[in-house]
Amino acid sequence: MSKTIAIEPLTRIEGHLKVETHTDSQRVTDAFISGQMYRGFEKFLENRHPVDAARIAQRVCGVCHEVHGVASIIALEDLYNNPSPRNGHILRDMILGLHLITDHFLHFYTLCVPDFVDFTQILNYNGGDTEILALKNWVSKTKPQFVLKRNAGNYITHTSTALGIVANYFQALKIRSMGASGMAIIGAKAPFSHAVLPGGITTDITPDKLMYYHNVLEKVKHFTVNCYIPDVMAVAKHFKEYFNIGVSYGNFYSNKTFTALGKPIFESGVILNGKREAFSMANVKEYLDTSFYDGSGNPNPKKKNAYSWTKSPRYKGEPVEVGPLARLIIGNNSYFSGMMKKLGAPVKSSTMARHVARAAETRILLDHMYNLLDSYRFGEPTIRQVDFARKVSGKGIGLSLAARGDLIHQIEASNGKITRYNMIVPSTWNFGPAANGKRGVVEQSLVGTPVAYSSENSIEVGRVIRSYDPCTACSVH
Amino acid sequence: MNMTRRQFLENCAKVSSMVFGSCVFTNEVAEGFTRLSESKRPQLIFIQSQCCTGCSISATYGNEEDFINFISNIVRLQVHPNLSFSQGTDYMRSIIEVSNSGPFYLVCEGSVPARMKEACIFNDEPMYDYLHKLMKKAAAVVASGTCACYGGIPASNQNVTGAIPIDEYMRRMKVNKPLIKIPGCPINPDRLLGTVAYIVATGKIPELVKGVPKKYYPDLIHNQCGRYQAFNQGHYTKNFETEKLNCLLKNGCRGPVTYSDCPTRRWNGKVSVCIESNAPCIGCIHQEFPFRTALYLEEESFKDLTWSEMKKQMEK
Repeated sequence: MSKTIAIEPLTRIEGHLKVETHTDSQRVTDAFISGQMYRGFEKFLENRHPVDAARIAQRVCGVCHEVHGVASIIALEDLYNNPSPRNGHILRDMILGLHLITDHFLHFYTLCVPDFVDFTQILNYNGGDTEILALKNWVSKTKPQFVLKRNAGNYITHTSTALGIVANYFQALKIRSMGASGMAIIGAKAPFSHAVLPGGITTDITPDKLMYYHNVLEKVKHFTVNCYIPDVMAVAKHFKEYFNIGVSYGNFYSNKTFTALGKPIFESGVILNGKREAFSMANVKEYLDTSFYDGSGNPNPKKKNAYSWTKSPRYKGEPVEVGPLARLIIGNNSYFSGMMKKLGAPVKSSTMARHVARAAETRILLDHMYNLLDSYRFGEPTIRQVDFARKVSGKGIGLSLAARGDLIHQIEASNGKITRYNMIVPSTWNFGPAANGKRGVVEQSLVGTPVAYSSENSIEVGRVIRSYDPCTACSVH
Repeated sequence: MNMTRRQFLENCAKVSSMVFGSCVFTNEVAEGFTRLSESKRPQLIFIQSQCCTGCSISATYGNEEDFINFISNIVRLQVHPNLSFSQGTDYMRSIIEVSNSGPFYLVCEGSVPARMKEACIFNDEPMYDYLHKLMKKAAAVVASGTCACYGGIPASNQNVTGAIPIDEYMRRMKVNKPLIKIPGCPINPDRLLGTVAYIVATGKIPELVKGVPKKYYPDLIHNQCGRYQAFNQGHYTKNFETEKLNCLLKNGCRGPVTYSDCPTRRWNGKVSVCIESNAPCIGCIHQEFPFRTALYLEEESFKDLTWSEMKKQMEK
């Protein structure tokens, strides 16, 4: 029998998202994803000083809190024709990389692990680890509802496996906090570094600061190697069926990023209908077919047949997937394909491949962070500042990335004022609604998802959606 | 004043009910906040409207306060959109259960769209129509972050959606509950976690100035600035590359109009703060943030002004 199910609100994501699925014989047959919030960021920037974009566009999202600042700054440097000196570029990539890594921890542990692991196993703990005992005491005495109320489903219930991951759920919070201090030592604070300006970084970089950052990297590395990667592998082995659930169109796109040392860590490119091609901005178009905007891009919540505040960018009219998986597939990354081989899983779009790709990317980025640190040269400039008083006119583009996918910021200015600002962000690529006759990427990958446990709040649908790391604040700017 | 323990406890109960309308704390208050029996700890519900989640992310990073310590030893965190394990109807049920089970604080992030109500939908209804129902059950409301306190970025420039801050929303909806504002884009974790801990420990709302806890926003950033000496001697930064310790006033620093303890509180395990990183304060805590004028005001715009005229210019 065919049924329509809506999950609203979808939790453990950034922002406001609703998913409506049609199911038949316990399988999803159709899906509609709605971004449920709008602010008007691009409008806020109109008529402002161009450099303000560095601080305001930065604030479009507080989860991917450094990436929009960086993308905006790349666009501003293009507008002012004022690139950062090498040292500034290195420091900016050091903030960006550490942010991406801690964002991956947030995604896996805080947002996704509760879908896979039975936290109540902690109540069966009889060992002597004081930290776990404190957690057991906390759960049994205070009965935290945010933990105890959960979706019906199949969880990892093997006590020692579950406990290991649960302990790391809390450890991840601590490591993220330490990671944030590593970003702050260079960029003033996290979220939202203020030391990052077009042209470089204002901070006086002293050796002790880089030593502090190094110390943070060591701890992050320890956690990645000993906790994060093994936990992802354990979950992947336990939920092997998810290597065939949540499969999108197989189209991917990524930008050339982390270029401070010359050779980029991620390559630019597009895979469309199985064919690899070079990326060209001219092929990107934002569709508004089913989004709450009129033809000129102004908001119109009453628009007929529209169901989402998210726009739908398409490449040559086709929906493409973005994210760590896209980056690693486009870069033909051997470390990632090695992990997939170990798991006996195909390198293609799937729920679990996205988790494994994040773990692989974390390891790759970590190595790069050490290289960046070693490449910093004391005595060389960190900033070549732009002249704020200059009445700049022209265009700029910033191709960059966020943890959950690749990112484009476009700025146009006339006589020292912003005339147009446009952001094409990861969660619009992935979560944009149907357009140009095709479902969005995530909508497509939901089709075929089994719905076995709860028709109301399907844990399987939640797993597929969360594997894309939805960040709707950015997508409904 | 001499008071017996009994009188003291009665007093605590009175204070609690005076402040909250309902009895949040009775004799537990006297036990100290870490000794509150687990089941008596105050409950917390987070709700997000037009926000970016930056304030919650900041809270989990912690500074002096540690988020895990906060939720495991001080409060009972019950519902949080980014942390709750449940989704959809199960999530909505947990909000209802918790809000009916006893007193709770409601922490609100983000502004509320009042004109274009469809710009924030929660559980298939505009947040504008939903939020006040939950607020009316809360013991107290905390507005977390600049958007919730003053409207912030969503209310700036053309304010496309008619975004309003929480106090304005409460006035319109006739919600009469104690409100504490913790401005900042994002909040500094200590200010949110510390303020809640203070209420837990004392049963009282801390001293507020314009709704903001005075303790955390005691004076202008400029007056506490580590570079005040440079300002006094007229050493201003012209070039970010070569001058790393000078006053940033002429680079548009809004320290002279922003009330906050940033210079001493610092961020992320106290490792740094904007001005120490040679980055001008952009006034992210200020009521007018993100301002109508350029964030990095050019020297030109206040060249011949007096100090007070310049400050007026900075607050635009």
